Amino acid sequence: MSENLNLVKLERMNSEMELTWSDGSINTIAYPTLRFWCPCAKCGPRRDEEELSNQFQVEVDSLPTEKPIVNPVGGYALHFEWSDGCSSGIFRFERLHDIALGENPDGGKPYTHGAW
Amino acid sequence: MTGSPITQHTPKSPKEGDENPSGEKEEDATPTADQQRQMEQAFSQMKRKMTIQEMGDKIKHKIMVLSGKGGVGKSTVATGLALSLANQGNTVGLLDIDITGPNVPKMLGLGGHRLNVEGGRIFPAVGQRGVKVISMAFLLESDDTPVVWRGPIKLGAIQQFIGDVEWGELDYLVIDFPPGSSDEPLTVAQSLPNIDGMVIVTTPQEVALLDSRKSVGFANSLKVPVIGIVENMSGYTIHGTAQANQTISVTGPTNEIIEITANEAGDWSVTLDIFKQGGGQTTAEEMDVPFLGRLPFDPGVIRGGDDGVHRIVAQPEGESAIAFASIVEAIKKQIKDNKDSQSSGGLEII
Repeated sequence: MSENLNLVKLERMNSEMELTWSDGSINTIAYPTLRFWCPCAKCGPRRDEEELSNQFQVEVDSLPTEKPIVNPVGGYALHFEWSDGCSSGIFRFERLHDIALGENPDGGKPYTHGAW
Repeated sequence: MTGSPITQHTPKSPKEGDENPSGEKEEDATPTADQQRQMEQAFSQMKRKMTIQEMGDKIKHKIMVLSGKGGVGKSTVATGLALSLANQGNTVGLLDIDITGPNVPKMLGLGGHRLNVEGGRIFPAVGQRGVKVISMAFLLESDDTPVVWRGPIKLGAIQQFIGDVEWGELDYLVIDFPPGSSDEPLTVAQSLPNIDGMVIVTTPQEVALLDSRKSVGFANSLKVPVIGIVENMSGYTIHGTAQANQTISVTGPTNEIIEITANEAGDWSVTLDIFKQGGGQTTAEEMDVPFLGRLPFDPGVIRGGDDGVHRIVAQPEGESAIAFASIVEAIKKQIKDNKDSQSSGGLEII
């Protein structure tokens, strides 16, 4: 994602959210996908190995479908609050962009404690 | 947990033993001590969040002053910028976020001052030129008391400094940070809305320039605009007298011979580039960020810092005060340019 690309609009639908970027592009992220890619210290390691990762995917898929509360973090990231499951992660705009494009936002690397 | 100040509870499903002997389900209306504490915490965090939002509106401009490397004169520059802005008639606040090494109060003659706290609100100390100051130093028993805190405790203190301080209406809030790109600037950038940008302080030597490039990268990561780079300790000017038009030889910092010719009155001066020169500007050009100007190496600034009377206050027409005023103008221009070039009014969440 280009450094100058910014998130300008986020619209929460029933099962997914629609993201509009400063270059005019629009894409969506389903809530279970967003929750699977939570960057927090608890969720990150759960994607490191295939078996764990599959279990984690099943877990987030079984969570109730709900619209999250969205809090901006500075001018560079978002925080999502859910009534159940993990609400800890801070999602940088670059991460959301990668997730929306179906890319691995961790670049295929295992979780590193302390990296933000 | 990083984000949510509100703890949400899922009601427990009833189980055997939950009913009283009469068979009626007991209403547990009284919160436990733990629930009470959580509710109080949630309330105070919500209140702080709202205050921070309000603060975003009451303070017109917020400027972060940071550097990648320590010892480049960040606190001196932050204090000088605050005083220089105040000299122009602005209402200015100075927030010293250097939790473990707070120096700003000493530089403003506020050493030994204690903060006034009323109704849960912290009132800043008022220094020279009416600059309002908040610093960890005001909470320490003595200047020699160390602050031995791990990150999360520092973050709590910073959030209090941001959310619980009664700044009132300000034209500018200058925020002085410890060196680096870690907890302190990250917390402020996450918590404080509408930051105008970062001023990055460097000295001209390569090791400082390398670190200031990291600061530019840090600002870009947080999508906080870089207002520009200030080159501090940029050349030391010595003055002397000789016969009119006489040529003087001076040995420079790297043993080079510098020849200067005195003027008609016999006065001469030469600027020695103790830490090289021009590195700040080159870095700014390389990183494609504005260069705000140079501050001369001025021993009077050091003495002023020790005596609690900043050079700008002691010598308002002096070389340092002029250099600071010029940098302040560059900062104001850059803030305006950044505002003008911002295409949208921020993120819309529906």
